Amino acid sequence: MGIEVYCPINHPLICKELRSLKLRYMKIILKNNDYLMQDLESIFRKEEDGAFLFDPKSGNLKYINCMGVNIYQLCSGNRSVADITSLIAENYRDIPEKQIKEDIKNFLQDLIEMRFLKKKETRQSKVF
Amino acid sequence: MTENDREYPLSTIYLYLTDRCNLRCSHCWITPAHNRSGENINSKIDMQYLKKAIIDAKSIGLTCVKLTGGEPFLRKDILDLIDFLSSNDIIVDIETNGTLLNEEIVERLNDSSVNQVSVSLDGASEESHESIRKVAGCYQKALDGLSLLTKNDIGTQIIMSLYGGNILDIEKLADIADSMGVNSLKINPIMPTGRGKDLFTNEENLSVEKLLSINRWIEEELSLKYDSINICFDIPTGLKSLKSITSSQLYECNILNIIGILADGGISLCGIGQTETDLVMGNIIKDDIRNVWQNHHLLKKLRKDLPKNLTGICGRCIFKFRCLGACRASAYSLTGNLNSSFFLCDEAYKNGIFPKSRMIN
Repeated sequence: MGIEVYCPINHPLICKELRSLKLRYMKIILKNNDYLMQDLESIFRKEEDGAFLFDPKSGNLKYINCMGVNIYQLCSGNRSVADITSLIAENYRDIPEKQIKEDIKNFLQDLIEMRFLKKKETRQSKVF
Repeated sequence: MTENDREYPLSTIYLYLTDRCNLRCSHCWITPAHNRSGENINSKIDMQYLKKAIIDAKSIGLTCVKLTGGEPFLRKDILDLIDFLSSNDIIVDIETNGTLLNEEIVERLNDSSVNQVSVSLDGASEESHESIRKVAGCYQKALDGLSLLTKNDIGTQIIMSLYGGNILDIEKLADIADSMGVNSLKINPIMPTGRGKDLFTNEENLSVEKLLSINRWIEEELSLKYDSINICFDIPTGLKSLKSITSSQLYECNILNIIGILADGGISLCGIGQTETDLVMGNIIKDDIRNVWQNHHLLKKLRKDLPKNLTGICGRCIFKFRCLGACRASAYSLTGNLNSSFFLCDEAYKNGIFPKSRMIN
């Protein structure tokens, strides 16, 4: 799917942050009926060929391409993971559905691990 | 390793082997004394101290040593030092003007752990190169040195110091790099430090607008012309295009993982201690480099301040955690403050051309 990732892992503080994030987020399991919303403290900056997501607290920074931007913008709190993957997959019928859905889930998982997205608490889903 | 070493490993030492040089470059930020004859000189600091510092630094994370100067090949004992570094599995990078390289030296380099030799070449002709390097004959000698290196398959880079007088040489130098099999061309806009201050006073530097336009041209046209050389234009990350940030190698100064050892053994924040003596934190003759790295108040403050206490546009940039304010040495040299914003980003911001999408607020 070609979503590019850019993360300031060279910075020692970020390395520490990522280590702790990895430990913390290993418990997160992304389910199809999870609803995702954007973290309001993150900064989203669109540019010509994509966008940057930046967390001013941790310094986490991620570049997302145009498809990534579409996916991120669908995470408004009122769509489930299944809704999002289906909506995107519809526009890429030349890519096997299983593959694109898996790629999108991995991408969403990345954004959650970097705290740019979070699960919306509902009766069905619970944030760990 | 202590917790501090794990968080802030001292991964690289910039070793300023000598404060003398056989050239007299008008932009040099180190301002070495001129060594007219080009003959080898005696060590200013005994090798035993250097070796001890390297072994000590290895225990707190050292993996790479950059040998620079002055002109490092003026030192008689540089090859012995390279052998020592190789035998300790330390990666060696060298910055040289190339004029003192010969077959014997290059053969020794070939048998060592030298990763890359960067040769300074500021113009694609004798006239252009020597007008800034100020010594007749140095252009051909640098080319000969470069040729020896590439023939021996040693990783090579051309470093070009860019100012108003050599813009037209960029493409010609890239052609030279390509034809000689050089791996990369790194273009450094001159800095207002050391002798470079005079070039700025005489307005021979390039405006940030001009630098950004050159950057675009390199990214969109020049880089596409060559298959095998990597062209790096060294401007701060916040001023680079999104494509460049995500698709090419960025040369960023990891100042929190670097220390400089000056020609007299001074332990300094990179090489800036040569001209800004406030930034010398000890000397390897009498101080343990591990103790300086772990406990010196200047480094502790730097770790606390970077990036969160950067001021001006650097404090507002989304790349601050990665870029760390570009060159802190130049910030200090210009303002006396290690937290002040980098002059190029500052100029871009004041001129309204710093990308708004890169600002936190």
